[in-house]
Amino acid sequence: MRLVIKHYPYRYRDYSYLAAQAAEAARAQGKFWEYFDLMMHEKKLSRDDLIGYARQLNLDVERFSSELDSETHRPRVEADVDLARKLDFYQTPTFVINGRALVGGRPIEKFRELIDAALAESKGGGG
Amino acid sequence: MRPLLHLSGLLLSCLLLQSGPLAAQPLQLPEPLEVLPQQDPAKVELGRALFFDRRLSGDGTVSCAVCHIPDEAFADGQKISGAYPTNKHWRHTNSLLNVGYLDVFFWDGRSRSLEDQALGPIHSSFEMNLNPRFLVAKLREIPEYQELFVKACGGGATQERILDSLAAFERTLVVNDSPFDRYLRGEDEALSAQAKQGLEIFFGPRGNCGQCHSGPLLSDQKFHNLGVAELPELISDPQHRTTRNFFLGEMGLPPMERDPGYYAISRREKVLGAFRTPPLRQVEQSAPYMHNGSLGSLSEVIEFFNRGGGEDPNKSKLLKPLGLNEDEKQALEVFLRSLSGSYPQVRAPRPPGL
Repeated sequence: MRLVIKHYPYRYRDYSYLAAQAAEAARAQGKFWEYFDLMMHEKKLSRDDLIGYARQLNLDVERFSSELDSETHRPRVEADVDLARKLDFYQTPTFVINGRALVGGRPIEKFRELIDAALAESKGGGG
Repeated sequence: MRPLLHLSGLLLSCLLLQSGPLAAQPLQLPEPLEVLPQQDPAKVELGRALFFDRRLSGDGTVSCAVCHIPDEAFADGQKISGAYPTNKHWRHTNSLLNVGYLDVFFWDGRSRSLEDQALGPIHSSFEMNLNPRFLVAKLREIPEYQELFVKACGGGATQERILDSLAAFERTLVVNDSPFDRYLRGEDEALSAQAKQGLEIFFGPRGNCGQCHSGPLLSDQKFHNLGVAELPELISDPQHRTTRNFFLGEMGLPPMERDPGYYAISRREKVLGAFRTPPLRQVEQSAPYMHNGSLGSLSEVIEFFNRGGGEDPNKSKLLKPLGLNEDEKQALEVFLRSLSGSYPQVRAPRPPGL
């Protein structure tokens, strides 16, 4: 099983593009998920907050800040946004489980149901 | 022939005496759903285009189909409905299936026609957030839409024509071929023995569900307080609170720590916390349940009613602990699953003008 995350910063939010790029700057230093979890937990997303999280995770803060300020990772974020629009996804969170889209926060049972079905299908298909 | 009675099709009692355990107490079953009048195909086509069109929202990201998802029984599968981006809703999304039969709309019954209902979400600040007059102006600038309006309505886009067309489309979203429907039409074998046991509980004195889930739609379209608990997040989360208190303010009410339900419309204390009985076709596919989606599965709903509902000083006197055993609860669930049939597999058309 493979989990892939794509960014979909809401275009009218002050910090959403910045936060997505910060997560990518953390990825560049090998700590995407740690950074993502911390950001989701703390919820504050100003530039200073984002740099503070990088410091907490012992990232190279100078490199992180420089990449954030120069928008090094913006093309990657924009590629994700383009992909979402191409697939007609506009809401966050949207989950796609082997092609089946689930929009919004859902009960865990719904994920189990779809993941189990996808696993069964995959086993059946693979012999 | 089935050993059960329709309200308006009484069979001879001598027949019932010969028909096994149900004979002692004939059940009163609803009439089958009638066939709705055929909708104008051009209007349905326009309504379908509008239903899936994100330009019906302020920021161009929310269509009706975002919360009424075709693959999810035209509900959205979430406890609390999706909302306009950066906002949170405060109630659970109703399924649109069989709305063409309804006379009372929304959980609190604040709308009495499908056309009027369709206006609510477009206009709502926390749903689609678009001034309907601005929508009319937008659609008038899209030649493909203009063609559709002329074909369907004989003239260009107006608010009334938008709502008429959305309603015409929604009236095509019908389920009337579930095993239960077939059984009502005389196919005895459409329901398993266990489903029939559940049907007997549902409509008979053991469950008494049919006292509110009555009529062909399995809804009396009236308002009942079941004592459904408030979701903690609706009380604690500032965004949910904002939405609730905004809504209450719009209804001329002060902020409250609860959902007032039909009280917001009627102002009668007796119906504080009372919500419209939902129709039950496709209920299996429209989890979670209740006005705030707080019950996640049919078995949770059955347990809830078996306890006599929740706690509320205003709770309906119709609710009593049922004392159903495991076998009966299972049969009731099997019966509820028999309310699922097929419904139109609608897909989004290419948005006109894009």
